[in-house]
Amino acid sequence: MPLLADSDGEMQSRVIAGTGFTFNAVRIGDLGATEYTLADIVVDLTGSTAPFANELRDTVVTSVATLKRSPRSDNLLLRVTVFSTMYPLGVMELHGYVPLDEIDVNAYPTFQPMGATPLYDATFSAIGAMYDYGADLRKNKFAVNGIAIIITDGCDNDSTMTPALIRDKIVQGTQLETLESLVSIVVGINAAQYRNVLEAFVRDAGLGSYIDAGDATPAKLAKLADFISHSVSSQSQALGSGGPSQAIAAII
Amino acid sequence: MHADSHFVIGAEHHRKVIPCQDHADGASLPGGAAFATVSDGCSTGGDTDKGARVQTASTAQALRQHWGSARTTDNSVVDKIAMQQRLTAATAAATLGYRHNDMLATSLYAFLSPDGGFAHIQGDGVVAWKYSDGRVGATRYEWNRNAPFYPAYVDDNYREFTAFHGGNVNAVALTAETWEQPTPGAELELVRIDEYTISQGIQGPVRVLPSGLRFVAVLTDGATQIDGLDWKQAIVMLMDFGAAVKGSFAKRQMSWFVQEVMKRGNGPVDDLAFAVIDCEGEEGTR
Repeated sequence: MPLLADSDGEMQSRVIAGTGFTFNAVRIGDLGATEYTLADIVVDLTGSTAPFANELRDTVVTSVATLKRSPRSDNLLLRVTVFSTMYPLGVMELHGYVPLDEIDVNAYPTFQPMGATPLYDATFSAIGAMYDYGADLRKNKFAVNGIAIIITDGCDNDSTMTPALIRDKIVQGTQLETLESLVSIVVGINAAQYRNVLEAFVRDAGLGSYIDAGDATPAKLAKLADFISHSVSSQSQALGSGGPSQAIAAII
Repeated sequence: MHADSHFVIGAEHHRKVIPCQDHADGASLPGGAAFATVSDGCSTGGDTDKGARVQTASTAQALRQHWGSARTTDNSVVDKIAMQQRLTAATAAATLGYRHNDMLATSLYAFLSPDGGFAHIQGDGVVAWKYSDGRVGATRYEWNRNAPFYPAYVDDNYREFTAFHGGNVNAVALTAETWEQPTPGAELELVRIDEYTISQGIQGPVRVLPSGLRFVAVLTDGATQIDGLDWKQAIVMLMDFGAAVKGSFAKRQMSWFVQEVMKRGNGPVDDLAFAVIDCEGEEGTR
C-alpha cells in the first residue's frame, strides 16, 4: 500500500465492527477543527476497467487536487479505496481518512486493473468505515457528516457482503445519529448494460442514488472528476444544516 | 500549553435582536505560558459588543507585553497588567471614537506558565479548573444587585458605581462561591464563600491557581444562566473534554454543550464566552 500522507502524526488502524474489513484514519486526538466531512472515493479496478485505467487515476487525482483548493479543505478527511478480487477481502485502501494537506496526489500509484468485481464488499467498506470513524468523532464532540462516491463499470460478482448488510449498517448508523447526514452515490461508467442491476443494488442497499456517467471517454471522466470534487465540497458546506447537500447534481 | 476560546449569543439577545456582547480570546505565548480571557458587555450600556472586544484585545496585549519583558506569572504583577489593560483600552476607545457607555464590559483572565499562575476578575463570571486527576472545581463571582464592576468605571474614578452600591466602599458587594469535586465525577461540594468589599471588588479578586491542573477556564456569567441547568452542572459539562483537545477545542466543546443543553431547554439564556488553557496541550493541528 503506498504511503500517500506526508504525515508527522499517527494513523490508527481499525476493524469495521463485526467484519474483517479494516480502515486507517488519522488519530482523533490530532484533529483540530470543529467539524469534518468524511469522504470516501471508491474506485473499481477490476479487469474490465483496464482500457481506461489511466484516465480513472487522472479522475481521482484531479478531483483530489481540486478538493485541496476547496474553502472546506480544512474540514475534509478523505479516504480513497480501490476494489477487485485481487485484493484481500476485495478492497485496498490507497489511504485512510486523512486531511487533504497530507495527500500528495502525485503519489497515487498507477492503476493496474485485474480480477472480478466485489462491489458490495467495497461499498460496505466505505459505509462501515464512515460510520465507525464518524461515531468516534461524534463521541469526541466533532460535528460530522459523510459522502461516499462509488465508481464502477459493472455489477457485483464476487462479494462476501450483501446489499442487505449494507442497508443494515446504514440503518444502524442513522438510528445512532452517527452522521449528521450521509450522501452515497454509485456512479456507473461504461455500465449502461448494468443500469437496472446497479439501480436495484442502490435501492436494496439503502444507498442514495445511482448516476450513469455514460461511456468512459476522457471528456466524461473529466466531468466525473468535477462531479466528485463539487459533490464532496457541497456536502461539506451542508454540515451544520442538519441535512444533506441539496446542491449535488443528479447527472454527470 | 494550548489555549482556545469561543463565544455564543444567548436566547434573550436573540429574542431582543441585539448582538452578542460577550467576547473571548486565548493563546499560548512563546516560552510555555498561555492566557485565556473573556469579557461581558453591559446589556444596558452602549455598543458594548465593541467594548467587550476591546477589553479582551487589551487584556491579550497587556499579557503579551508583560510576558515578553518579564516572563513571570506571579500574581504580584496583577496591578501592572491591569494598568496596561486600562491604558490600552482607553487608547483604543479614544482612537476608535468609542464612548464611555460602549466600554462597559467585564474582564476576566487566567494567566499560566509552568511556574504557576493566577486569574484576575474585574467584574463577574466564573473561573473553572480541572485537575490532572479529573476533578473539577469552580469559583463563581457575583456582584450584588446584578451590577458588576467594569474597568471602564475608572473614567469617573468609580463614583457612580460606588454610589449605585450604596456609597460605602467598605461595604460587601461581591461574593465568590468556590465549589470542587472531592473525587472525579462526584457532585461538586461547597468549599468556601468569600466576600469582597466594593473597594476590593474594584481592584479585582485574584485567584492563585492551584498546582496539578490540566485545564483552566474563565467564563462570563452566561455560564450561570443555562435554561434548565444548574450553573455547576454547566461547568462540569463544559470542562468535560474528550481525547481531542487540539486546535479549536473550546469551540468544539461549546458547540457540543449548546447542542446538549438545547435538548433540555432554551440553552444559554444570556451570551456566553468561554476561554480555556490546556496546561498539557501542544500547539498545532492536523
